[in-house]
Amino acid sequence: MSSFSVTFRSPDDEVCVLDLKGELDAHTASELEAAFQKCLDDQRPRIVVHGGDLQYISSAGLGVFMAYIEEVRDQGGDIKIAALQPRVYNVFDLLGFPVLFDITSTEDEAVHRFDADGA
Amino acid sequence: MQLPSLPLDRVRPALAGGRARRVVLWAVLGLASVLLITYHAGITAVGEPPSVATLVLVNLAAAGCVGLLAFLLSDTFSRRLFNPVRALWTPLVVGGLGVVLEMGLVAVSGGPASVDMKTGVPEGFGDVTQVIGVALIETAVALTLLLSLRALVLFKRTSGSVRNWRLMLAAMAAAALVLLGNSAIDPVNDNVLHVVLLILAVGTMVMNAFRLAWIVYLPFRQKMLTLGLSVGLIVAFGYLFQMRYVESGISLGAGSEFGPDLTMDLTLAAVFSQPLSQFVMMAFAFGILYASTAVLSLLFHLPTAAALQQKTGEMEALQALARLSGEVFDRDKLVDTIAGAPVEAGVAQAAWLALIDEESGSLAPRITAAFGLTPMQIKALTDYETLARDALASKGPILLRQAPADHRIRARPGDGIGSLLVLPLLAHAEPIGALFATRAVAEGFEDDDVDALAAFAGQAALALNNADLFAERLERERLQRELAIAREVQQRLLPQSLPQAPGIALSATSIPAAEVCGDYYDFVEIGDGCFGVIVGDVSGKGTSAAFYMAELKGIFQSVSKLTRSPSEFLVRANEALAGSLGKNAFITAVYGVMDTTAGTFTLARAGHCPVAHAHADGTVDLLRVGGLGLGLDRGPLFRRSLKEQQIALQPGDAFVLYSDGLVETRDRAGDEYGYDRLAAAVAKHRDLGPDALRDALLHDLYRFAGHDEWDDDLTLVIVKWEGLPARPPTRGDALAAEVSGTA
Repeated sequence: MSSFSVTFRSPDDEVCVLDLKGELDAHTASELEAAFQKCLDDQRPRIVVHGGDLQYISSAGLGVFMAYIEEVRDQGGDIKIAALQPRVYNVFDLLGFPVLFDITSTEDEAVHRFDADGA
Repeated sequence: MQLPSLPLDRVRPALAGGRARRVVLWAVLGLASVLLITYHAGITAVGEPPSVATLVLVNLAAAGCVGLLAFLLSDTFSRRLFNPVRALWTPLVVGGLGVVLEMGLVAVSGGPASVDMKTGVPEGFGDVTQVIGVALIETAVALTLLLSLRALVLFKRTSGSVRNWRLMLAAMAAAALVLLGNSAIDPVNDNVLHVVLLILAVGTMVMNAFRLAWIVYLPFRQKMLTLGLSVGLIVAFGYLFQMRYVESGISLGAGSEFGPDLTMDLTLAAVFSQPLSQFVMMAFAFGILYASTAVLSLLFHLPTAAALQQKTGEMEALQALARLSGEVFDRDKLVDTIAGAPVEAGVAQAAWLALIDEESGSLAPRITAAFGLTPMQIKALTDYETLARDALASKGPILLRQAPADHRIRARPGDGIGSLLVLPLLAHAEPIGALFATRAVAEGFEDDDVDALAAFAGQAALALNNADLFAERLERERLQRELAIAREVQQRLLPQSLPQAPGIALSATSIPAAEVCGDYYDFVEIGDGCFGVIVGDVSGKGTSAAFYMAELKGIFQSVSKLTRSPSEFLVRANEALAGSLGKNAFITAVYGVMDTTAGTFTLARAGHCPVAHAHADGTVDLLRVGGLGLGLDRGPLFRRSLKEQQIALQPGDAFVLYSDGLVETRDRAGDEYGYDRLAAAVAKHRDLGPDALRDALLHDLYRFAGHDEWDDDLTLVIVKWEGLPARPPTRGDALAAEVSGTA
């Protein structure tokens, strides 16, 4: 059975960092959905997804990003994806996600881009 | 008769042997009787008393005849099924018949028989006929009586009761047999041994007369019936008993030298045989005694019979309903049966069932069925929710003997809820709800009512649980059938045969992870030697993926023939899908067009896994041309992201198109098969034909994974370019050769 967890971090008042751990697939996608929804409900649409511990992502997992990006951007925020492992990045890349999402190699970079966007 | 249940091959010889023996014994009995009758006729003709030795011999013969007859009859009686009414009815009929026959004999003989009181010998031929007739009748009646009562006395037998019965018979026989040397006129009471044995016989008779266990089990009507029969038995045998002595015509009158009281000791049967007469007397006495104790016992049991019957009826009704509820799988019907059972069985005047409805998400029990009171009344009169919860929490029945006094009851005295019983329904310790039973009076439920209803509630809970499980199973089976149909339909959406095109060899397979899948592959002949191949993968799995896959097929079939440009096709497909794809759904696809005339393979990739291209020299490229997945962007970004790649075909080129299920297959350690292993396998097996190459790649995957159960749908399409066959030389070719030759 695949295991997956999302934990929240707030390095500052602006950005909400979600640490993903484990395998994000059709069974666990709802947890990430809930996390994104919570960010929206809390009016904190600046989201950085930290994927350092993400081992695997399936198409259903990728679908969660697609499902929320529009609403997050409508609220003036964004979902930025940081620190993906090469193999997981390859999945995002194959699908063309770098065209649609800000994907950075480090969390700091992602947070800074929010600052740059906001400036 | 239980013949049919016995093995016939064993029974038949035994029966035949038994029948032959019985015939012989009946013949012996008949002969002995004839001899006895002849003897009595003879002695009457002679008019002299027999010698003691003759008397002993005759009495022994008579005793033997009685024993033999008892043996032959007992066989018939022991085959009967136990039936108290019949056991009393038979001796009553036979006894009554005896009375009638004896009276008839006297009437036919023109009066009571005369016996010479000095010799104990009948005086004439008519007298001896009467003596013989009465002796035979009384013997038959006495034996019928004993054998019939035997069944009653030995009902629920123990070794003690059997011993007592045999002791009684033995005492009776012994008390009779010690009088072997006695004639009808010899006094019997001066024989001490006889008196002692007689007392013993009476004692055992009393013991056996209290073997009345069969009475307890009789329903009220049968108790009445057996009471009547027992009274009848007392009357009939009382009459028979006194008939033996009176009006026998042997009254000697006041002037007799023996005195007038001697008559009482003389019976006609004794003239035939004194021991026989004594035995008959004891048998009759036992019959009267047994019938008397039965009458008394029946009288005592009558008042309780109705109550017992009602209780038994209630219990039987509850048991029957519990059994029934185990067989009902229709939940609504079952709920009605359970709620109605206490009322139907007569234990309660109103009853209802409050069940926890899991689907409603609330733990509050709802009234599902009610009898005797309407749900409105119940809600108004009781706080059934709290009562159900309390009963479930305590896991035991709650009995409110004075219901109106309880704080959970709003009913006042006279509202019809005098006492209330709440029975928790638990199936495998899981709360289901509660069964309520009420009676209008206070203190309306006895302890045994509570026990019976609690047992019923236990059964009911299991039955409800079973019905739920059954319904779930039905639903699951229905879904499985639906999915099987869906799978069949979907399999027909995939190409049923591979197209034939010059220079191209194809192979394809798709393995769904679940019943239905989101993988798709297809081929199209565009015309002018152009030929398209597509592999697509809908995000997610299962039903929604299967619907999008069907939609993709529709788009492919309608759009693919309109353009030879793979990127153009994908742009149009993206536009077509934009309206229907859900926000979180997308489709990856790779589409290639092979131009057999120009010898090119042009492909575009919409977020799909790169195509593996094996060259004839053994190198393998992963063709990773840029492009977004279908549905990720519904505007110009998608078009801009798409690139096309064109490859000049060389004979021996192999293209492997696949879905991510292939490269993401993991072994037991969790490692993915990956692109490197795929590329290596393609390089190794590139020279094989398309089918063999497909099988080799799958085999390599199986070996890596160590299992053949896939988490994801898996699709594999092989396209091999074999090159066009050499064309026959044309004029143009010849001309060119000439030109080059001259050059």
